[in-house]
Amino acid sequence: MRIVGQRDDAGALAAPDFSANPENRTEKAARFAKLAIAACTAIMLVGLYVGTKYSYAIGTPSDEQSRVFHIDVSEACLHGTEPAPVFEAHQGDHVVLAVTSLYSGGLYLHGLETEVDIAPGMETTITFTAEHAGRFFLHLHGNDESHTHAELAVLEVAPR
Amino acid sequence: MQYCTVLEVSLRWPCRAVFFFVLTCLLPDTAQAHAFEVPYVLPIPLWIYMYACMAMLVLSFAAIGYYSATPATGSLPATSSSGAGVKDYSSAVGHSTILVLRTGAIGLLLLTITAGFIGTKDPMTNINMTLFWVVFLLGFAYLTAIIGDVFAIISPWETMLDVCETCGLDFSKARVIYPRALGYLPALCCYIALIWIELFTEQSPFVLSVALVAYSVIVFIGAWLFGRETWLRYGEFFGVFFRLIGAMAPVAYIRTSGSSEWQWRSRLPFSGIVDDPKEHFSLMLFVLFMLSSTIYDGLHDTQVWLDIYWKHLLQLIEPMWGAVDPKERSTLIIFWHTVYQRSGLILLLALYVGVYLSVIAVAKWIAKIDASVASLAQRFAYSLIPIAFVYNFTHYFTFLVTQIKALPWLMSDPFGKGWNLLNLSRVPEQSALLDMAFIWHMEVGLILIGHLVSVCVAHLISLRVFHSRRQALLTQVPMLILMMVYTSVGLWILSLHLSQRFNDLGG
Repeated sequence: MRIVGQRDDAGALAAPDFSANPENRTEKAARFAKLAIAACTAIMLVGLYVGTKYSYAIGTPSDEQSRVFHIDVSEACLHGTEPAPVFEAHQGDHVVLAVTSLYSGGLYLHGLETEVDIAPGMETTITFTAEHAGRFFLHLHGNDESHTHAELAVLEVAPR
Repeated sequence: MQYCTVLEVSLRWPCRAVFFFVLTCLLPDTAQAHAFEVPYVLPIPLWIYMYACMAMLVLSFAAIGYYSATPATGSLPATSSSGAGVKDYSSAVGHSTILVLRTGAIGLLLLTITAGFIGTKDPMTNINMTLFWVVFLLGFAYLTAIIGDVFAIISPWETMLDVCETCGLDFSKARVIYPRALGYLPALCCYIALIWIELFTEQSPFVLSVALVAYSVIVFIGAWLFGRETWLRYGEFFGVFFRLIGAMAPVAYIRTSGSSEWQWRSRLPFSGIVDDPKEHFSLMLFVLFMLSSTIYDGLHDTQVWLDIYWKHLLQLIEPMWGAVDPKERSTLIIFWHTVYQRSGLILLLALYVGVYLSVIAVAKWIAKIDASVASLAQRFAYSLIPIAFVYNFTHYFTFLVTQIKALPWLMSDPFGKGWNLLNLSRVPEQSALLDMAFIWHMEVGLILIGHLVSVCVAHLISLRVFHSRRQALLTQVPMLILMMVYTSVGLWILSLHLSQRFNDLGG
């Protein structure tokens, strides 16, 4: 029955006909669900990233600081019976490594490729600005007969 | 003491022989020196680790949701993963290209071996260490994931066999029938030996050259006994290794049967690991060793792993030694530390295999599948390749980038004799280091991508294997948990601090 005044294209505005072509309808619903899942996943990943970054960013360093670390090279250091200390700094910090050793040789900061000679009983310093973030190993390359190679400390420079 | 008694009583002669053989293999050698520059690494911070774990959960559930949203009435994907509607490109690989590549490959192998024998002993200035460990095993492996298994075309060991055949030696026929039960075990043994050399021996150019010569001899003997085709397929480790990595690439290389002509064909990325039919149980072990060895490489340097020995195991085993003088005690401590470190490589593989098979058994039980656990385990093993690959990449990326910069200078002076063949300027004192924040984000991003790809590949494999979507989805629940565990372990190790000291002590 045709209602008077009803437009011919009214069908286009009417609710979709769910009885027709159920397979096509299921495909559309599935496509929509997949799109929704992909969109929600992207939003959640971004939200989680921002959330975790700011929730855990406690103790963020403010200004560049000067950090002095002292290392006393003992028998225990050379034979690995005690763990090497880990020194922490941040990018931009001014770092001073002051090393006193009973042995002669070279102090080598791996990664930064810095090497200085060290004499027995004397304090030797390595001074630099931590421009690069990373984990750098401070080694003693002994000039004795057995070519002592010992890890004295680890310097961790975290990015700002 | 009680443990000693039990051990003595229970070990009968055959067991004792094996036990002492294993102990002999585990005997400590000299402390490791630094073969290369110490890697420029910093453990990922807590917030990135937390984010990565949560993101992994989100991606896992999203993948499950995505596949669940597919209508049950929908048809299963076609058997060929070249994909409907995706145009295939294929073409022959030119003869001249093959000739140049094969000549280059054999030339580089000979250079690597020669440099170890006549070049400097310093691993930093001898080209052979960088060529093999960095360019070949890292750089070329990562390239293979993009350009496909080019190694199958240019394998220098195959070229050597070709040369020998032109000289009259016949490698085409098998003199001994290859035992079917062996499968890929020879390749796996070579893989374990390679990782053993990498982790536990004093690496030097000379040792590397000796190892490569020994390996070449093994290839010749294997090809002579079992025929070149069989040995190159099952026994040649590098061929198997690059074939598995190349299966992820969007390019496949097909040898025209009975000739030396090759064709390349485009395909969907990762379709090679979805389509590859199950082969042999040992190939599953090979894939799991790809994963476990890289994990162990990361783990065995960490403070957590070393603390297990120094703080816990040592307290357990020390009372068994009884009253010993300090020197003997020190020797025993180092000996058992070495045993602990080296057995860890094999024990971790055993753990990964055990966990994997258990998960497959649970999947079989949940979905009520008729196939055997071994058969299912073989079929799904390829789905772990992306996780293994990305973890390997993230683990070695900084090392690769740092070390590869020295290559031009090494090419200019390959033997470390002070030459400058390419007339290059001197090596810069301090090369620019990578941005650590970039490294963290790249590591975590790649691990998440690898995890997602593995989950999707496992699902696509299950759709090929099982009759219904319901079965395919049900099997994915335990597989998903397994992948989450493997990925979490990879992330966890990235967040751990390294400790070089105790490692230097015990090897």
